[in-house]
Amino acid sequence: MAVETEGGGLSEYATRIGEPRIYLPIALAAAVLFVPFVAPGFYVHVLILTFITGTGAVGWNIIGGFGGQFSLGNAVFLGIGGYTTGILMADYGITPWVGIPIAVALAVVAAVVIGYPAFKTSGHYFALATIAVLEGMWFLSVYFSDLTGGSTGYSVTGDGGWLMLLFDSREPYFYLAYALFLGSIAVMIAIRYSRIGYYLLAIRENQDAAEAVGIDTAKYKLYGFVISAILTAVAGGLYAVYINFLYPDSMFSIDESILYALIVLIGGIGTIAGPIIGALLMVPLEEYTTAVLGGQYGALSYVGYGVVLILFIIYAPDGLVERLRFVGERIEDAAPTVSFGGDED
Amino acid sequence: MVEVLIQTILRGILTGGVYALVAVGLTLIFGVMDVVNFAHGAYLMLAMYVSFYVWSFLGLDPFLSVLIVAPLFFLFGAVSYYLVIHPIIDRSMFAQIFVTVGLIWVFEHLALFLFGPSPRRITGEYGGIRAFGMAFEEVRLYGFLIAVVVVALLFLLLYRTRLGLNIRATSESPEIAQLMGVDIYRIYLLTFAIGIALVGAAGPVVAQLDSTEPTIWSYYVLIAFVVVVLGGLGNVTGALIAGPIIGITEALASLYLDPLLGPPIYYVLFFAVLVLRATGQFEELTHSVRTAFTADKGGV
Repeated sequence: MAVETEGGGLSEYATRIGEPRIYLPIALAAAVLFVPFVAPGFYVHVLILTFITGTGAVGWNIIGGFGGQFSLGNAVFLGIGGYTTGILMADYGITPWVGIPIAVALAVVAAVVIGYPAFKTSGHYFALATIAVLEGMWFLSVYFSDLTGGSTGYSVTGDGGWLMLLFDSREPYFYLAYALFLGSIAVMIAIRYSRIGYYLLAIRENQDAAEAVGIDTAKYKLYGFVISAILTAVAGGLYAVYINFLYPDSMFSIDESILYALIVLIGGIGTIAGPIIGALLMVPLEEYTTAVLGGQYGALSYVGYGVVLILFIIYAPDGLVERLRFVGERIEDAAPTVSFGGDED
Repeated sequence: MVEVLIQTILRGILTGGVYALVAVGLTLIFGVMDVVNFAHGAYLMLAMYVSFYVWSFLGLDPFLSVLIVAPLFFLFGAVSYYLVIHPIIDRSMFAQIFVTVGLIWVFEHLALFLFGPSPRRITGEYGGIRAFGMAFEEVRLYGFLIAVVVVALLFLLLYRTRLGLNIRATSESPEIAQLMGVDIYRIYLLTFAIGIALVGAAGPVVAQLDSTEPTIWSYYVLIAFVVVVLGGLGNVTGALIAGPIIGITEALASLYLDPLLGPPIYYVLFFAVLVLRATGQFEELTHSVRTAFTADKGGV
């Protein structure tokens, strides 16, 4: 994986707005705003789930893709985000506008408590340490059933409206989830071209070399982990108000943790477009096959995904983004470069 | 009360023997091939399903079905090695994690597609027996005995055959083994197949102790990893000691606290050992414990 060191940053993107590779994605992103007006409700629902899961994948890409630290425990933050927001709301009447920030604060604490010792390990061992934390949280969330409702689940209830973010229609959730997804992408781009991003890439390429040139690797891995925890916890909070029902298997879910990694892999590890393309591919196809053909065929579509992913790792480790680069280049060639102001004489 | 305690500890040891059987293939594969097979629990899950159907369709005694399931999983392991492990054996650790995690994904959803989400369990074959004034579940007792026999066979293979010698040589140093004329990729193939056959042998036992469902792999893969990490990655003897330690921890937690708290307790232990091993402090600790004991003996 080559490390791209040129270009970068959100401000850099802004100055290059006239180039097709910048304005085409922005135009596409703007077009998505109109989806709820034209698409049937089911598609809106699928996109909401795609944005929530996609946010988790973006979070995973920061620590897993940029930093090369294979976390299998990121759903811990989904669970912390979801349960904190949901419990504060249903049991204490606290609005998610306050609940989600509290959830994020807890997720940050959890990320530090887990990450500080866990980053003393690396590679397989880090993956193992994080999977143990996730499974431990699953058992605890079942055990403390007075708080979480245990394995029977927890209903998130409250008054309707913007205060509690409970709506009868899907549209408000669509825009909230979309704003979250775009926001997380902006965070990812900002991180990618910041000091943290460059240090994480250096750590991924060679941790000993990064350490040797004076990078405090433990500190920057922890930063990456905390940022991925924040994004995933917000996604959990939104999930709680949208789905209104939490149970350990869907929140502290090992499948969800693996899904984040696989989404990023199929899109392209450590790239900006990777988690976006991966999420837009994997989540809708699974939801669609499940809805149309039933849960068992939804599972079969995931089997197909898994097989494709394994083939990807063996034959195309750079992911779809690399494979499809030529398509992007062709579109770029076809679209004109627009210039604003500048040389007017 | 003491009787209950002793009985609980014995139960823990019996269960722990089964855990060691679940883990021993994982540690063998890691020790020889330097591959951490995250899909180990998923192989167990499939072995549990196969055992369940062998029992329900053929009506075969579940313990006898070890003789069918283990060879079947030897072949399954060999095929898996050819298709997915061999292409990544010399690749980065990242690729290895992704491939074995990808296998989990495939196996879990394949099981969901084929068998659905509802749990299955082999029941009603065995009851309890009384010995030395204590009650034992036959399933746990026979499961433990099967674990002992299978691990004994593994030791015979490793230390009494030419193949075992080649496997141990490859584990020590693949380069030197290769120079000595060992076909290391054949050894890798056989090691992976044997490792999967070992977890296959655990299938019929675990399918009687626990419910078989597509997601059960995550529980057992962690048990296997806890046993393997406590015992030392690649250390078969270590797994035999660590298995019962986990079994006893779990049994005592169920007795005094709550069955749900057993796993979090040994996950914390596991996490601590992982971190201490990474910083080298675990070896220091075990070394100082060992020297303390030898110093005591020296004094007498």
